[in-house]
Amino acid sequence: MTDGTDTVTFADGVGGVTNFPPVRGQWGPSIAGIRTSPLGGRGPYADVAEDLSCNIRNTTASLVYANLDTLTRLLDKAERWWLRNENIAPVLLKYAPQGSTIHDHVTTPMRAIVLGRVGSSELNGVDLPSDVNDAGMLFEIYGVKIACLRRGAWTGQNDTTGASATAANPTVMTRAFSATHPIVSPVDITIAGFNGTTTPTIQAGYLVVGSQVNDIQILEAEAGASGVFTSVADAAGNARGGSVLRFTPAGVAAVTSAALSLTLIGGQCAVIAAVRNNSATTSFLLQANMSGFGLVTSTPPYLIDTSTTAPRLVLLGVAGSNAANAVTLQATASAASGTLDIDYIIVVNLRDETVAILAHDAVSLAGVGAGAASLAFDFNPLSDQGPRVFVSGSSGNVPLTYRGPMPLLTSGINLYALWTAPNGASWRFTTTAPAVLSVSLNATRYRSFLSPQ
Amino acid sequence: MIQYALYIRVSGALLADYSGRVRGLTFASNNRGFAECKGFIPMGLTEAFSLYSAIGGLRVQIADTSSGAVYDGRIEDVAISGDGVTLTAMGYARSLSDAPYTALWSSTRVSEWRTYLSSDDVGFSEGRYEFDTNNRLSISPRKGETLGSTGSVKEGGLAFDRASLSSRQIIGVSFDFQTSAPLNWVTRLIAYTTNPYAFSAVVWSLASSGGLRNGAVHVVITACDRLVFGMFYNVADAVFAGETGSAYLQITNLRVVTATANRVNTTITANVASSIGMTVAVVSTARMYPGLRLVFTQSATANRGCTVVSVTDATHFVTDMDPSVGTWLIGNTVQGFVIYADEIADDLITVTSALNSGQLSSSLSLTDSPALDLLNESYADMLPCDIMDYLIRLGDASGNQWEWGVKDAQRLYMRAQNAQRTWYIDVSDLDIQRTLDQLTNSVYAVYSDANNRAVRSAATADSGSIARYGLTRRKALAVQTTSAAQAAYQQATALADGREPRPRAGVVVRQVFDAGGSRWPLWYVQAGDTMVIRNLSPSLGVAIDRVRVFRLTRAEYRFDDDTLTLEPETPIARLDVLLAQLAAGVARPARG
Repeated sequence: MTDGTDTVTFADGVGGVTNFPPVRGQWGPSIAGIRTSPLGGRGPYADVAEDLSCNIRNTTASLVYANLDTLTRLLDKAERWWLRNENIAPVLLKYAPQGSTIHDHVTTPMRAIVLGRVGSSELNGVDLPSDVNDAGMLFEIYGVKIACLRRGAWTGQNDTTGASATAANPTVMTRAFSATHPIVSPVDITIAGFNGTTTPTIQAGYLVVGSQVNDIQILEAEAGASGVFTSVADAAGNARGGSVLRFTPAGVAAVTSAALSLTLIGGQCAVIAAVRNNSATTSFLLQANMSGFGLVTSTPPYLIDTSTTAPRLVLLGVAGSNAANAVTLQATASAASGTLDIDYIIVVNLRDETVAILAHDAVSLAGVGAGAASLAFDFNPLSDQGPRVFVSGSSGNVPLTYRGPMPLLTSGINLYALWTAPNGASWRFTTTAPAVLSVSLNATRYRSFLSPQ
Repeated sequence: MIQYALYIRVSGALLADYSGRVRGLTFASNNRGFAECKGFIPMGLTEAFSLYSAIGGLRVQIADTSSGAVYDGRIEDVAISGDGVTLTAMGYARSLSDAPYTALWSSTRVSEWRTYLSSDDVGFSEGRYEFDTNNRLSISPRKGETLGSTGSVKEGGLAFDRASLSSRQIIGVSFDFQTSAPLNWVTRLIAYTTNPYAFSAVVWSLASSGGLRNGAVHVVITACDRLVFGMFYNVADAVFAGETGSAYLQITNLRVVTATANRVNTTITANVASSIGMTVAVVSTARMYPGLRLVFTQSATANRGCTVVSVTDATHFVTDMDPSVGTWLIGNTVQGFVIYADEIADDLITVTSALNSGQLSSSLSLTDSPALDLLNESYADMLPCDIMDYLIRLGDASGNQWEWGVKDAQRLYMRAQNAQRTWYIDVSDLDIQRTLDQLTNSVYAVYSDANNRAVRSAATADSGSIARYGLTRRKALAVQTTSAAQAAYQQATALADGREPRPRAGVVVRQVFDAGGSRWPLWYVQAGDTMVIRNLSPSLGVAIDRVRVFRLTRAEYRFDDDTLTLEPETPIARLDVLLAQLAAGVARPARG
């Protein structure tokens, strides 16, 4: 157990003598289950209580008491870090199972943050035996009990994918980890390609992350042209695919587009649409209908108001479907005038916690220096009390306002991610040139383990 | 995974993502949209007091996996304890309780007019006239009084003031008039502007012809704060020798409004001779309804008021017009004031969002119109949320119940209750209560006859209910009317409300499903959604569908144990809706 300054070594991994030898047969690591609460901010597994017994010994009584002080101080620091949010290093519990081929005590032990005492009593997590005073003669305290709370998932080795090739936004980018890992684990994601000079402000946008190939599907809306829905070229607006789907209302009744094909998916699906209300007076209600095998479900109607005539990204909502292989767009105008354009839609299959959508606000790069900059979505389970989203540049980081589930999680071997944002009159994020910006994806996974491995 | 985060209201910047630290978090939605959200966050005093100081400036959002807000509210209570802080947020419907609202929208009540005093305007001389505000406005000079324009005009007047500091000014007035006076008398309507009141304009003026004259006026005027009907002798002073009441100005069918967005303003498209049951062809009958008072305008002195009897179609309506009036010609205007609840709701949004920017979206896109003309709407120091509650209680012409609230993007919505999402649940522990106290299967009405004596109608009963419950529970319904028909209508409505006592049920669920059988996270369930308990058979009881299928009035989600507590809606009694409409002077339109 260590915070980098104070260290208590119960067992050194090579059979050496330590000053905190565990009592034989008194400890087996607890195995965490999934948290009941779906709240994010940390991994999906519940915190667990560990109950260890050890002896504390040394060559003099004062050194024994000093060792005891180190141990209690570590538990105190753990609580200060977790309960008081004090700006100190977290306390880690490190463990390498005997015979493990994955973890070892030197470079890659399993690690978990210690959160402090267990229960509601206001006592330190270290409980002393009634004969503690014998330490003055024996230079050893027998049967010291440590009851502490730790993060449920152990964290092992990291995987870094390296940066992907750049691709024009929005594109579903893919990275593969070196090996598959079946336990859901936190992952840091970096979207690079920004520049303090050529992209001085990153506009509000979305990051979408998935772990299977069909988790994120991006569809060209103009494929739904039919009747009052027409395909209109908009190269000047950097429309994805060169054209947009234009809804020209003939009345105030709801009208549905032709179907957009979707690779078959099932479960709750969120739909993001890139839209542009070309009218300053007519508002529109837009919803997506997911269909497959005879069942149609819809997102709630979303109001496209008249606040701007520039392209914008809107989260239409979530629709559920056991099996969906097509999407239609249903629009209702407040008056038989004006037009509504839709460039593309993104269908995100929210099938488990490895699929997530994060919305972020605009951020100026003025504070991060000139040159290259990137968007970072981080949560290091061994150092961070909570997730962090920031833009990083040559001279520092600037936090970013976001909405959505953090930390990002993944499992398996592949990671899929998409970043998108409009930019003024452009459907897609552009540089000052202007040219549609190409970005790259990089990821670091913190492998989680539930049991000794 | 769900995010619980605090944002700084002014900048919108993220203050902290407390998802990983908050404990005991719950959030709820109710019939006003998002309701309360409460959670405890362990933290030190320094951090706690930074939140304590920022109360009012912090916004709470709970975002789901799709980044969509499943809760959006403002911090209203911060309670610091030894080891952290408990934050309680309320939905942004609360922004409508931040400041009272005072405004006049429409008035048809002549009782709200008062004698205009010489202390109001030295040109008036209230002691020389008789005034009457019972069912009409009437001004008549007294016999023997010296009247005339020598010095000052010694006018007699009745005045209407908008409420002090009302946020809206008078911009429209319509009325029927009848006047009879010797030559040289002038009757008129004058507008005054704000305190200290200053003469603004003569809205309408008519010089006496020496005999009886009548007509109608519908006029949109420059915004003003006070209207005064006056009557004066416009030559040198002389003693009025006529009997008191022989000369007069009488005003009926009076309506004062502060908005004209929905007024009827159309033109006749085919010549039509005046008659009882006259069918009038117009460009549009939009917003007309049986009972709406209209003014036909032909010339300055030949206008007539009439009441819509029925609306035939989009371009024809029927009214009764004195056959002696003559023929109405193509191009003559037909006008009438109409005030709808959505206009008022829109103004409440505008006023609230202007007072506290960031608390409520200024968007007016989600306020639907119930299309009920509100004849008497005036609010003094009322909270906007109370006004909204009152407005939705009026319902609409089709008998729909209405709702309002604030949810997505802080937008206020006002709409007929409609089917939101439908969820299917299985419950094993159902708490249902029902009390006989709510049963009324026989009703008689108590009303007044023309001599103000109490009259009791014959009791009416629901035989099916009596047979089902094995007893008769009778209620005396007090009805404020002298109309037997009105009493009978309310009697029938009360019987329909009470013949089947409403059950009260509380349901806690851990799983919800959609129509396709897909399981959904519990936090998607919101007030206004419909719940169907799948494992209750429809054949269990006569009233089982009030338990088996119900609309949610409140849904509370608890994160710690991932449970949802549901409260079924108790619908507003139809009699209450009817009484609210009557109190507002609402007339039901035949078509929207």
